[in-house]
Parts: sequence; C-alpha cells; structure tokens
Amino acid sequence: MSSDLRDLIRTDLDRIPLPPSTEWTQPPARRRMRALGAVAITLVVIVVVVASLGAGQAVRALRDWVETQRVASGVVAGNDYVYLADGDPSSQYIQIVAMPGGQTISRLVGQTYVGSMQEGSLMGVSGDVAYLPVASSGGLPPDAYNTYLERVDLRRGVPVGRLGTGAMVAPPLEPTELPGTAVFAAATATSADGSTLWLVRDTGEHALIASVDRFDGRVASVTPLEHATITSAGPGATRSRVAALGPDRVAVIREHYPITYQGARLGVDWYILDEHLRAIATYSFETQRLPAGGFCSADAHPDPSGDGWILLCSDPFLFQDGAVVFLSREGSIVGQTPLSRELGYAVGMTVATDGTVNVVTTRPVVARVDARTHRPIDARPVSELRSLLDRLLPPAAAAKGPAGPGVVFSLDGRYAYLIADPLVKIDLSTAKVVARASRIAAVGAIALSEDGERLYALVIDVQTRTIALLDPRSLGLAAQSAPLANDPYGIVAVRAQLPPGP
Amino acid sequence: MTSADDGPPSSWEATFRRSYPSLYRALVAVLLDGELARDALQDAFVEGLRRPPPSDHALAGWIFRVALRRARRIRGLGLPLRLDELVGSLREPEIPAETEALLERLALGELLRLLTRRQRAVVVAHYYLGLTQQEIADALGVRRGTVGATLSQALSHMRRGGSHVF
Repeated sequence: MSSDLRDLIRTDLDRIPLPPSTEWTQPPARRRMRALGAVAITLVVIVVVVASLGAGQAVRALRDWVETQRVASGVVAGNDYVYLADGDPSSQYIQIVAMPGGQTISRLVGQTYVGSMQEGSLMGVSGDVAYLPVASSGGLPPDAYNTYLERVDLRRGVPVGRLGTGAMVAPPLEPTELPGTAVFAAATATSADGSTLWLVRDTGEHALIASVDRFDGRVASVTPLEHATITSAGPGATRSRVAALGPDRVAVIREHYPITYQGARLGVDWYILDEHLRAIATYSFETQRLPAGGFCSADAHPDPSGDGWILLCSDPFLFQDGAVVFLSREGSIVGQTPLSRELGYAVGMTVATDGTVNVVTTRPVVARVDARTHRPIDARPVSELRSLLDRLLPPAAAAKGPAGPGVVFSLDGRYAYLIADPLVKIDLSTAKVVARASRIAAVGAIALSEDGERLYALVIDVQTRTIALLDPRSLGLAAQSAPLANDPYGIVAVRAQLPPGP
Repeated sequence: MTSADDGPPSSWEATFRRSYPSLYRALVAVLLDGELARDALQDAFVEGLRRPPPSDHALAGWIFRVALRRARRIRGLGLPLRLDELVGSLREPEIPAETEALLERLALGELLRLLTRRQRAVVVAHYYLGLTQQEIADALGVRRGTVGATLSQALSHMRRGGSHVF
C-alpha cells in the first residue's frame, strides 16, 4: 500500500497549481489587506456602538432637561421644610431649610442626642410636632443642666413652646467614655396621631439606667402620665433610642458601645413597653436576643396580616445572619424569616398591603418575604438597565450611614430609592434600576416628601453640602439649594409647609 | 522585503524558490487551505531572511516546520470564525478557491480528510517530501517514535476509510 499511497500522493499533489512565482516571496499583501479590512470593520462596529451609547446619553440628558423644565414650570410643585441634623456630635442642631427655595430659615439648638456621626442614628419623628430634647448649662454649676423639650411645629418650621423636664446632673461618665457624644443623652418619639410623647434619658454609671416618661402630647404638661426606669446590664456605655409602635406601645432600644468608643456597637437591647411603660417583652443582646445581635431597624412596620409589627434585623458587619422578625402586639416573636448574610446588609424594607415584605440590601439584592406565611419568596440581585460603558465603571455599594437609612421607598411600595453611586431608583417588582440621578454628586442622605412627589437628597460635593430636589419619577434634578453652612449630615424629617399662623 | 529588491536573488531566495513547489503542495495537503499555505510559506521566507537556517541540510524540513508554525499563528487559536474570514466572505473573493476545489475532486483529498492535521503533516512529509521519520520528528518537535506511531495510525485510518481507493 505504501508505494500505492506514495504514487497517489505524488500524482495528485503535483496536479495542484502553484501561485504565480512572482508572489512566492512577496509579503503577504492579501493577508495584510484582509487584516486592514478586519480592522476597518472593527472600527466601524466600535464607532456604531459608541455612537449608539452616545445617543443614549444624549437622550438621557435631553430627558433630564425636559424633566427640569417640567419641574420648573410647576408640574412638580410643593414647598417643604427639610429638617437636617448638623453640628458637632456633642452639640447638635436641627437646621431647617425651605425647599425648593433652598434658604435656611432657622437652626434649633439640641445639645443632646439627635444622632451623631459616630452613633449613626437620627431622632425619630412622626406627626406634625417634634420634641427636641435640649440641655442648657448656662448659669448653672458644672455638670448641671436645665433640661426641656423644645416643641417644634414641623409644618411651620418654628419652635412653639417648651416643656420643662427639670435640672439634671450629667451622668457620671468617665472622661474618656464615649468621647465626642452628648453629655446629656436623651431621645423623644411621638405617636403618629400626636397623642403620646415619650422621653427616654440615659443616666447612671455608663448610662446603664434609662429613665422613660410618657406625656400626653395634646396637653403641654410637664407632669408625665407614666414613668419607669430600665436598668441594663452588659459591657460598655449605653445610648438609648425610642421608637413609637402605636399610641400605647413603644420600643426602647438600648445600644451598647465600647467605653472608649473606639469600635462599633457591641449589641442592642430591645424593650417593648405598654401604655403603663411596663416591659411586656425584653430582648437583651446578652441573653434572649433578637436576631443579628439586636441590630434591628427602629422603623418598625405594622404587620398587615396581624396586629403586631415587623422588624428588620441585620448585622452591619455581617458576622451573623439577619432576619425579618414578626412581633405580636405583646411583643413576642411569632415568626422570623432568616436573611442570609450573603445577601448583604439589609438597609431597609417596605411592606405592601398584600403582605409582601421587600427588603433591600447593600449587595444590592431585593429579597421578598411573605408576611402571612413568614416564608421567603425569593431574593433577586438588582440588575441595572445601563449602558455598556457604565457597566465598566466600578459599582458602589449602598450604605447605611450616620445620615439614616440608605434607602427610602415610594409610598405605594413599588420603588426603592437607594444611595449608591449615583442614587438609583429600583423597581422592586423586577429588581431592576429604572432611573439614576446622574446629575448630582455623592448623596449622604435621602428623604421623600409626605405625598411622595418630591425626593430630597443631601448632596456632598467635596466641601460643599446642598439639598437637591429630585423628581421621584425620573430622578431628574428640579432644584438645588445654595451651599449649606454647618456641614449637615442627615435628614431628620420632611414636612409640607403651612403658612405661619395658629 | 524580499532579497530581490530589484537586485539579483540571494542564495536563500534561490533555495526557497527551488523548494517552493513541493512545499506549497505539501502545505495545501496538510492545511487544506491554499491561501493559508501561501501566506505561511511567505512568512517562512521572511523568517529565513531574518534568521537563515543553520545549514542547507534538511532545508525542506526547516521550511515545512516554520510554515506550519506560522500557519497556526495566522489561523489563530482555532476559533470557529475569524473576523478576516468573515470580512472575506462578505466581499467578492479575490482568488477563486481553485486549489481547494481541485483537492476536493482528488482521491487524495478524500483520504486526507480522514486524518488529523498532525497525521496529514506526517503522511505528506514522509510520502511526498520524502523526509525521514527523524527529520519529521525534528520538524514537528516530537519524538521519532511518535512519528512512527502517527504514521501507522494514519495509514490504518486511510485503509479503513478509503478501501475503495486502493
């Protein structure tokens, strides 16, 4: 066979025509031409793609401009007071900015516990009236303070009276204990209907004793209806917050910090109190703790499938899993749905009327939980409908900073506004980004107006801080304040303006 | 680029031209692509200009090896579709694929398609270029035993698949 094969190969191959001899030693011109052709086609493809993206950017810019014009023409109308937290952590203030004009109309002294850069939580405000705890040391011996509650009409942006709470001696804190925080630690909360006011003050060694008072919010009386004390145990110094669950239920949240305040919170105790300020449920982080070490958001939501509340618990350091916790009206845990720490830190939740709980995490992920069955529905990563070039940019994780939650939700619960890079609007039904606030710098805090028609963002641009008014539909920029003084860092509340008067 | 930049051909060019017909046909049989064979040989020629072969001994094997390597580089990483091929397919072909058409019609073409590229290289180098198994091993960078085994496998394949030819 070999000779046959040899003959066959030689015979057949010798029939193959040769290229012209002049080309044998020529440079591969055709290949070069083919390569040039390929390069040309590649360039054309790139130009077409880039032009398409550019056109997309142009369309986006045009849409923003149209939105701006629409807003300027009054389509997005409404005047609000935006209440900002500012000042030194040990001497805090409330700054009131009128929007959309952007003028600071007033600044209220707090010198107490509004929330600080370190502590990362703001005072909770509900209803039309807020009570700002104030401690004044003017004319008094050292460590003695005249304390009162400054009654603030949120719709008119003015203080309307004081509720004296007596002279206090500063708690015996070590000089190095919780440095940079308020000497006189106090927090207030009001029920949504304004009928009840709670005041919690931290006293005793390491502020482990909480003094809790309940007042009638409709009567300017300095005499509390109820009084109670809560003594906590555990390491570190303590700072309390108070969250209204209803007219006759309140949660006192006690956060334990390292004495020297070098680290983050050690853990959190939760106390659910009834109308007589009796603790009907206690969750100490050292014994019977809530999930995630008690790191639960203070904005408890009413449970649509019962008469209790829903808490969102998540460890900011992701050392442990979080959970959506369902509390009964008596404060007992009737169910909890785990949130794996792999989903990221849960920055906020909204509860739909059909019982679906939407949780947004820093991953970001939209996790859904059925409040009726307490079972998880799904968890979907948020994908962005953004251009190819944008995808090349590094994504910025959302954050929950000292300015409050990094996410707010539309009133109908369909959308989440998440502080990312930039601020984005997420359709919770699809877990997709549907709008981006590309015309403003980094956002430190966000809040919606009461009717959900205006979104306010505290914009931090290098050294200047401003309030931006955004259209919640498109996140188009409608107005922006002048640079604000005193470096505000959080939005405490937003209320629609009423004209001055009774 | 060539040594014949309007001057007399160099000894390398003369040597290359003498070997060209058999090497071109051998490469067509191995690569099953006339244009690729042409480009690979042209690259081998340029390579010889830059770094002449150490000696005239087994020169055909040296050019064959260099051309095969250049062909692999030209063809790329074996992607199913090259952009230049795509571009070429969108344009009027400059060179009719006569060579490939002819190979299709030949009985040899049918046999060669039964083999892998390495098997084709070994068969053609041995039976057409007349290289010894050692020269083929040197050219392909494999052991001599591998050449023998590859040759044996190739013959077996052709015997099974092309019995009507023999």
